[in-house]
Amino acid sequence: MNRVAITGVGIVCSLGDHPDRVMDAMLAGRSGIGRLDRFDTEGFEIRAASMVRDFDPARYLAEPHAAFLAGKEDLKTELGLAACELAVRDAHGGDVPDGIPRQERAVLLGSGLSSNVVAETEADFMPHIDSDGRFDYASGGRRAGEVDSPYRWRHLSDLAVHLAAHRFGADALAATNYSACAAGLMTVGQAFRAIRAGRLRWALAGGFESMIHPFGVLSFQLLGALSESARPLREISRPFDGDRDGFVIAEGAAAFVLEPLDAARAAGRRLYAEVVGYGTSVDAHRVTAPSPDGSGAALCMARALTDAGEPPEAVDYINAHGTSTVLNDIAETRAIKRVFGGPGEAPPVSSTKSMVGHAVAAAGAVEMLAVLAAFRDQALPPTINLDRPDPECDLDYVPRQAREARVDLALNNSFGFGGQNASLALRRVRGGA
Amino acid sequence: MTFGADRVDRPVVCGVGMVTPAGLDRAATLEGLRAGRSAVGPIERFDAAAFPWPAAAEVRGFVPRQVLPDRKAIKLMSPPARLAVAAALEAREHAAGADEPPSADGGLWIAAGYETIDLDSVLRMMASCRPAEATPEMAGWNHIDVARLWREARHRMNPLNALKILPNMALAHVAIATGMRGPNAALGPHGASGLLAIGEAAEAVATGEAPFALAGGADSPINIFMVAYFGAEGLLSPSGRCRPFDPAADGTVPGEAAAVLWIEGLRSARSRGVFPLAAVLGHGTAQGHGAYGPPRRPEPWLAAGGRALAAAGVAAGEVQRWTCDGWGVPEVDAAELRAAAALFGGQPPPRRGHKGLVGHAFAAAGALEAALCCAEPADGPELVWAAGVDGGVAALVLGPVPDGDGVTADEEETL
Repeated sequence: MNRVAITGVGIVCSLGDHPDRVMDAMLAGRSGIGRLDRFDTEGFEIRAASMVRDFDPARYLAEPHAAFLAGKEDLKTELGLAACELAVRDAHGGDVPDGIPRQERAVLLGSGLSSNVVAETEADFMPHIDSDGRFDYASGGRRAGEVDSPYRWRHLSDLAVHLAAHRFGADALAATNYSACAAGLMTVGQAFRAIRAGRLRWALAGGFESMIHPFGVLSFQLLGALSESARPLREISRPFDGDRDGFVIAEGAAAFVLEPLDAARAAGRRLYAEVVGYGTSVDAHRVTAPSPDGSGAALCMARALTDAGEPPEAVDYINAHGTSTVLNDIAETRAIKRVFGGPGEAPPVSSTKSMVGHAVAAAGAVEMLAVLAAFRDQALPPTINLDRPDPECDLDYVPRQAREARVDLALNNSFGFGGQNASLALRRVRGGA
Repeated sequence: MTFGADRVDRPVVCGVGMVTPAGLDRAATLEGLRAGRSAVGPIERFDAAAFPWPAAAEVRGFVPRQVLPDRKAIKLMSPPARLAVAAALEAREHAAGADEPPSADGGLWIAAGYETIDLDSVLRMMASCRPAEATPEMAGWNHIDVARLWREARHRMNPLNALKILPNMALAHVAIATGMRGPNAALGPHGASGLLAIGEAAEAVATGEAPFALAGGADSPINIFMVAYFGAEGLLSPSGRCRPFDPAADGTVPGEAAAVLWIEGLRSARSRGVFPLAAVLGHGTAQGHGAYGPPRRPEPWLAAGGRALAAAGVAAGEVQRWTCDGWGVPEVDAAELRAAAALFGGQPPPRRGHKGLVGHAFAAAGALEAALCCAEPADGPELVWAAGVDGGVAALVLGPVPDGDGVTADEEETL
């Protein structure tokens, strides 16, 4: 059984594109949330988003990828590849070392839906739709057979996985996890398990997402998941606060290089953290809401601790899923209490979604940075905007500002639509980061 | 996978469930395949007359209300989710034996294809957010008026649509229908993912992470998006026939299916008095590189097959039966044959595969073949493999169920 370390971090989110700067921002309680201005929102209630602005793929992507994606408006794929490039560069200073056999390398990334831009949707479908909304299969079908068929799915939700696997020589496995909002964290757990058991020696894991386009934002609004608050933009995401009313949509990507700890130490790599346990569960309740008693989410935390061989009282910090929706934050609080006991017994919990919003399939990966920050600076990232806690959310959520604390063992939670839950246990490596 | 160092039990398959173009359950599918009945025919799911690829293998006569327990939930399910739940319930029933199997700790590894968009609702939405003043003759007819989307069109949309199309909904609905709350992952979307799901589940059972699991795949790619996608990738048959390894082969045919296996530790199965169908001996994966598409070179096939055999501790010469992938795409078939020749040393074991009869169900295809192997097991070790449009290959080695609890005296000491 190998011990497993995180040796490289790639991040692109509203708080920046450098791991240490993003960690600094999270500890400083800085919000990356701003005005949703990527498209015309006149008449639309959703005002806030956590966006990657002025993203220039050429700054990050390998030249062939940048050329291949040029003009395709596939921001989601570009964000994913950018995070992968940054992670590999961070771990190795360049390419993956030749000494790591290609047949023991894998790329595992979490993704969700493909992201279609309006202009393409117009070009692809509108010419074949009649005024009643019926598709003209005769003209559409003929068009489908032409060489430049527009239906050659323009935004494959897993394209970044395929391209990254090719680029980094991952001959063992390229796999996409589609476990909704838990996907990005689950891949880190999958990679950890495979390296621990000796099946892999190198993995790139994480998640990528951009649903900040009219159809994407609308789909979350229709589900009633987004805040329509009139507050100042940076105060809208307020996990565990009594006035919370939904999440703020985010985009971004985070990727991590995972390697056997001993080999990584010998190679002189920066050891951001050791991954020590992983647990998953399903609510099996409803596809529209979490199990209100928190029993599903409690299972994944308990399983992660069992996997790590650690008792609940050893945990110093929990990075919550903490979406800022009414249902999640109460259910998650109950789940934490089931595993850790009540206020005074449970460790401090915070939600970085208060600053970075909810990056859907990438959320769990992006929020890993908060755990790494806690290890690095021995401080707890805050839950900002937590002014008046919901009486049903009665744990220590590190309100408003960071706090010094000894953090050796932490959990990162991610729960998905449909009821899939994941929790990852990480340990500080002394002298590692 | 090595079921070695961290193994606490031996993963076996105790039940399989399937909904396929050949039949709506296990028995009907087996009967249809034995009779050699082809389920490939003209696409009826949508008007495909003008499409250059006329054929598909559709699941016909599937009435969700007759097989799914919660009628209200059916409305929230995409086509692959409905198939997945039906197959999962059949697999659980097949594995039940005298005792009802326990449920709460059961794991779930389910692969599904790309999101299944409800075309009708999307098109209605798009049509209703054309600029209000537009007529078909006017410029601007093809534009989406976003302001109109906010003002009117969205109010006609089903708010739960997004939940219906998410690829993890097959897994979520299987969890709700079975009460299983164990370890899990929703995988996909390509042809190797169903076998990968089975491999991951077997591993979880072998290491004790889950006492048992439902694992497999579900896919329903017979809609204009997926037919156009696979067609534009050059993978579909213009003649509408899937003829793997045949000189006249000109592409594959999309099929829909769900296939789910109940995988459990052998000791656990024995303690429930259940006689398992087959043992999962090992699995392996490989990723092909180069141009996007299914592997057109033998290397990834060979690597995945070799890894699965090595993990199983089975020599290539011991393999009694080989379930091929057989897309019916000439270059892909040729690569597969070359890999098999290299792996088996020029004399491959008897080959089988069913895409000619049931089409290619992508995320469900490998799981379906694995389920068929378990339903009619070979006398010795057998290899199943499947490749995806992304160049990935997964391989699985199944074999006879060992006597007793399958643990040798040597292993007993290490457990």
